Amino acid sequence: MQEKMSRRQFLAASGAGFLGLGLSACGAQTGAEKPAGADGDSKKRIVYVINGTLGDKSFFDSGDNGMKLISDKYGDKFVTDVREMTYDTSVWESTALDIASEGWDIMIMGTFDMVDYADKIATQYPDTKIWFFDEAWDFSAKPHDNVYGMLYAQNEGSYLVGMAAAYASKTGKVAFMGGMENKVLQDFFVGYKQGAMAVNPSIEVVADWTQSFSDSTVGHDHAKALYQQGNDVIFSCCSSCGLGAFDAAVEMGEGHYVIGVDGNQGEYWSSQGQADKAACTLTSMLKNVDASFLEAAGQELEGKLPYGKLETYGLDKDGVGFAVTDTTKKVLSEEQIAGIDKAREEIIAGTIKVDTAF
Amino acid sequence: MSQFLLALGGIFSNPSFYFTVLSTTVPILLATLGCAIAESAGSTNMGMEGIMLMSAFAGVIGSAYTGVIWAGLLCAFAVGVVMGLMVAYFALYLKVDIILVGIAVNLIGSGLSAFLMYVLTGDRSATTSLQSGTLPTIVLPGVESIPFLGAVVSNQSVLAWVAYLMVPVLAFLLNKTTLGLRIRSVGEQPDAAASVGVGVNRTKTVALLISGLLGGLAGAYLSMSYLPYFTKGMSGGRGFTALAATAMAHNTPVGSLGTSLLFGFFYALSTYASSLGIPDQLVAALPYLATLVGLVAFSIGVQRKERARSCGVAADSVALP
Repeated sequence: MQEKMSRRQFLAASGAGFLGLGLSACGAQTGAEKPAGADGDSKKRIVYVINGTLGDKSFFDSGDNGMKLISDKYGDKFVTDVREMTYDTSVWESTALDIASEGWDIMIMGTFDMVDYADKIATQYPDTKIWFFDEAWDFSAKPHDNVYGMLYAQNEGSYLVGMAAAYASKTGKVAFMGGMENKVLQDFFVGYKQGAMAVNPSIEVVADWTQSFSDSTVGHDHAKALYQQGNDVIFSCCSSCGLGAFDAAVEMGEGHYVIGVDGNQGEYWSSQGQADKAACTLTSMLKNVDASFLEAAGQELEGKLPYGKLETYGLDKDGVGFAVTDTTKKVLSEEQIAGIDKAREEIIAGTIKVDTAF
Repeated sequence: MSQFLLALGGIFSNPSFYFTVLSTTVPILLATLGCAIAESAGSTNMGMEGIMLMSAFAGVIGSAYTGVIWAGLLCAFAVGVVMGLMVAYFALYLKVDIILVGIAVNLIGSGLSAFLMYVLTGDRSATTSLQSGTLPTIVLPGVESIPFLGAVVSNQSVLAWVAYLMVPVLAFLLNKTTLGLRIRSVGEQPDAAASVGVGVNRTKTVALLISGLLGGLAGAYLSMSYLPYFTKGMSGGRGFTALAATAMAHNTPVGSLGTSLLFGFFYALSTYASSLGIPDQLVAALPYLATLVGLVAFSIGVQRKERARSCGVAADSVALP
């Protein structure tokens, strides 16, 4: 059956193959221009390396916004760029090392999955500084004086939305939907559960792990299953996968809520004219990645950024927060929102101690 | 342990679980039927994943730009058919290895859909900025009020009904029509079929066209019924699952229904069971474990049957003279 391929057939085959490869590359990489070097002598060059793609309407997009804030505020001091490495985990290491070899002054990267690669870069490129966000960098095991660790107190923010969930729940069952059972996401869950129990000690809080950060159909199915098992509020914490939870809530109808994460997702849906989704977004646990980038850039300019250290951006530094939208005001009473605000003050003051997974 | 069993019982007695089984099976079933008909004609449609992605995307774009949901469905159809024909053209007329064509189609599907999404909508991971709507669901007036059954079958998408109706339609097509006979003969003995005047390439092209059409339906279901938007890579490996399901089903439509339901069942179970405290990695692996067990059971069955047949033949040949 297998005859020798003729020249024409070979060309056709390789043509089809190249077309496919070329297109998939188009989808995967944007903004691959070389870092600006000529005018950058006095400017520091920063690159934000994303182990995913923009468009999640939350975490990575917030970081992208942070880069914009930096170039708006300190445009004369910094040159910024953003690189997306897609969700294909197999290319993360090689792509990150490639980017590092371009000789950036500062590389911003983050999340649990990137720790080992950042460790490698920090060793191989001692002149490149790394701002590592959203994971507790273990400086005792990986002591690098060119790494600055940024951690968000997601447990504190989650405590507040946990309270909101408990106030809004009619069934006495609320759920947490995380992408993967890692430390940061457990930290979300621990705070969420504690906050919910603070309002209603007998509330049932279940954790559900979707094993995906990208597939919205998976998020939709998990959320629907959770609703049908009697949970009426879901804290959806899994990037693009979590978008599916909003569709599930709309399908289930009145009385089913989603709590968004990282960005203000209720506001986002309103801005897109999707009133039905905005109406089921109870609130969002804000992780102000953008604010933290800007803050770090300011400190960097003053030469005060503490490299070799891990800093936590909590409620006190506005690293995390609680979003109030029209839906929040409609579902929760004024006293309840005031109660959440009071808890916020008490966490900052230290009178409420929020548990952590770290 | 008893609490765990209680929770499991809670899942199995919940009608919405079976609703989810039926609805998650739909895209797998359509893709499996598509692979099965191509495979019956002797061409492996590896590109199902890419066809689903492109047609899912085309469906959303079509319905968002025209404002008519059925125009979107038509777009998804058209893209599915064109891609099926593309596989046929490269594999049959330019004689490229069909597996390679399939891989190229998958790469095109994942890359081009993401690229066009960015160009056309400015969105990078999901077309949430478009208003594309969903296909209607069918409420069965009499059945809806029946307890349990009503909650399972009523309110399914119109495409779900199309998918399940496709099973007898394709079974009839393959077994009772001239075209079906030709497709099967071309798949089993292309030389013999050619010797009695059946156009081998033409028949295979028709099979791949139908396969592309079914892939288009599967894609449309994902982005116009399952979710009301397209997300990058939303086929989520269902095209590959379909290939396994086809192999297990021996390319028959009825068998495809069985194997797709098996996958749908375990997929639904994994979404329901993940809040029960079973290690989530294990739960997520359930559909794949089921595939493995299914394939082993299937091949043991085939071996037994063959052994029995060869024994029978030997016995006959001894008895005859």
